[in-house]
Amino acid sequence: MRRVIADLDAAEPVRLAASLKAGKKVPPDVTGLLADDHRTVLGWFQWYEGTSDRAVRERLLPRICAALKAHMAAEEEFLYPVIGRFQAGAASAERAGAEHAEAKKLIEELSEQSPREAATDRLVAKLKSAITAHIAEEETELFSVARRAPLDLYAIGAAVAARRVEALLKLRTDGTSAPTRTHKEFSMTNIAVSDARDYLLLGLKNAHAMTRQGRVLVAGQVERVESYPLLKAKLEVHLREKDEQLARLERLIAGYGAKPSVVKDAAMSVAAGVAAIASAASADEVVKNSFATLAQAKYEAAAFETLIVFAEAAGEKEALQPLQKCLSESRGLASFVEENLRGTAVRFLQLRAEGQRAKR
Amino acid sequence: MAFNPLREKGIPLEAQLRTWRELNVTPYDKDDVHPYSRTRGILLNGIEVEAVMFSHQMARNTLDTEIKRQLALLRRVEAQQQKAINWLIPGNETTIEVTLGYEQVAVDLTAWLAQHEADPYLKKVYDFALLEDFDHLYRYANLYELIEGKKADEICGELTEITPGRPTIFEHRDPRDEIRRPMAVPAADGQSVLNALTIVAAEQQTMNFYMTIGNRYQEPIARATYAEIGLIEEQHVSHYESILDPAASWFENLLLHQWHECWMYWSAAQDETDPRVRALYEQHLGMEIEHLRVACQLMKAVEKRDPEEILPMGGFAEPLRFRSNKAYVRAVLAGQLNLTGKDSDFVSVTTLPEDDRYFLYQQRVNGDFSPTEEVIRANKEKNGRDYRLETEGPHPVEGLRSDEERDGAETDYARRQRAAA
Repeated sequence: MRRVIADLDAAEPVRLAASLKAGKKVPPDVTGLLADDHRTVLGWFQWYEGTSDRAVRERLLPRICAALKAHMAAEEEFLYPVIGRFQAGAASAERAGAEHAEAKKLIEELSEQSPREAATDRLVAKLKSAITAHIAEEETELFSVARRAPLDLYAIGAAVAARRVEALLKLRTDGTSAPTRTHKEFSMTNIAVSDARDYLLLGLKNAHAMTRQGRVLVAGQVERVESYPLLKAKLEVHLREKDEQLARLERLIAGYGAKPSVVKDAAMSVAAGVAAIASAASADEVVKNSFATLAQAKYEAAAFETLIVFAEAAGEKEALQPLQKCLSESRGLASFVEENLRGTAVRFLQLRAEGQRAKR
Repeated sequence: MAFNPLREKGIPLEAQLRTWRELNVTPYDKDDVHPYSRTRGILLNGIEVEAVMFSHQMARNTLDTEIKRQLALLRRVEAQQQKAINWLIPGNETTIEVTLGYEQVAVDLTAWLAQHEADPYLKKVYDFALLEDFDHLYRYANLYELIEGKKADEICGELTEITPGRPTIFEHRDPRDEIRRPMAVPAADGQSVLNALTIVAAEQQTMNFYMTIGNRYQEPIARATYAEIGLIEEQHVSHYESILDPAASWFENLLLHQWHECWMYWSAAQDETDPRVRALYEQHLGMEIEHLRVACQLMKAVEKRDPEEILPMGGFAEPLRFRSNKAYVRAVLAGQLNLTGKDSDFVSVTTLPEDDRYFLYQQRVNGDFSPTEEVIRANKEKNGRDYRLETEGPHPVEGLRSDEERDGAETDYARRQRAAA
């Protein structure tokens, strides 16, 4: 193609600010623009809370953080300093700035979290309540000062709009908020609800059989780990959790009008492999049991996490909470065993050195 | 499966112009065409009309003559593409028959988009208007039976149910309640951007079509029905275009349009069952790939920006498909019939105060005559019942089951309206 305009190569990229300045875009009233942003981000927070789909949360979180960062940067640069000059607005602007600082700290903490951790959800909840309170104050106090003051709200709106888009584009280029490209395959679209329901029910029955198997595995160890008090305590707690898990699963299965025992054999074949390692009594059984328990707990966690997805796809909201609890418990056991592999192995060797056979 | 038009090679621009003979395509056989083949053509015609009109608007805001020439070159090809596609419609398809195709597009396209929209707010935007276009299909189907004595399933097949949606009489809202919150392209999901561009073009063409052909009937009831529904399409264009990103520059919009057209033809070529029409879509895809390349060059040259920073994804993950959406539409009907627009949100009509501007607007335009209610009454008088195609059981909304009750039947809308009157 022919060069369109001579020596444009040397020029700066065209920015929204320039288009607005040149009258090529209709500028927004700053309060309307920011209020729209507020509604959008609050909607995203609700979306985050309303889904138990981790994939959705993982791609939503960077989007929320990027939108907030861009929005705050623009406000701080073009709105707060102007409002702060008016006596009526000085306190509001200062408070709003402090609230931004708090929000930014939370966003910073969030960026260091792995999105899979429960702590992330707590931080997001904290951020949401901080932002919600901030929005309420800003829209009632600061905006009303802005509307009464002798200000060109459209000129400020133009500056804020341009700055906000620039910041968003920069965050995108930096990769901090780049939407993941694989999420399409995780979207809950093209799903037959009845199919998801069928798999949920089948999965619940299998999970019931699996949990029974897991209970046998844990129960068999409790009395044989006298020399490992930490492990014994955890196993005892988890044994009670297993009973609760079974009760929860039975309630869910009964809710769908089925009996848990019908297909109890379906999952046995998989779990049996794990159990076999544990069943043989030997000198180092406590070590081997750690492998088996870890494998079983991870297997259960994978099954519960998948069931949560099925339940969500099937629209079975009441199943989510009990399954989430099962998932946390199995994950809890898995991480306990994992963290204590070293301790258990060391203790095992110590006991052997003491010439004392590890108690069963 | 993923397809990235930026990595493909298109047809050189100079090879894209066609002769009159090539453009004057042989129309489909109206008795033989698959209903979704008809809807694909209608949708793609709308996409090309948007491409042409957008390019004209951009040209009017462009000071550089050379860029105007580039735009004119692309636009001439888009205008040719529009002819090739729209001329697939045969002359013996009557205006109402084409109209039924337009409303089938509106139903099954919007339902697909809603089910492929990740953003809950935007999904609400789609579900909301879906129920209104769904009702238009029912009104026009009754007009068709009343005037031409034929049944709409001869056009739409049994792929789309035909039964009342949110009654058209209640769809007339104050214009200020039609404006939704805009998305910001840099913060939006790539699919959301494609979805929005699709629906804006489709609804805009429906608006254009009714504003042009609505006066082609002599029967007063037909003229009045087109006038009434034509104004809802104006509402829908306002509703949908307000979700687009208003901060996007002319070049960003040009880029997104070309990107979007690639997605459209890539989808249509996979979905189309008629080999002759599929070949046309494949040819147009080759052209659009080149248009996209030119748009990228223009952006780099003028705005000094890298188009790949703006384009939402590495490629298209999934094609848009026309499929039957009966269960989905029924679920939305069952849950969202009572919603109305309030500022940029959707609320139940029962929550509005009696002096709300919604009711004032209703009284102003509906007066003592509602064409879309009259169509049903008249057809019932002629045929002893209204025309419906309910293949999946009784209507999901109880108040809309009986054709005894008119004036919006026994919905919360009707009750609320009576209370306000």
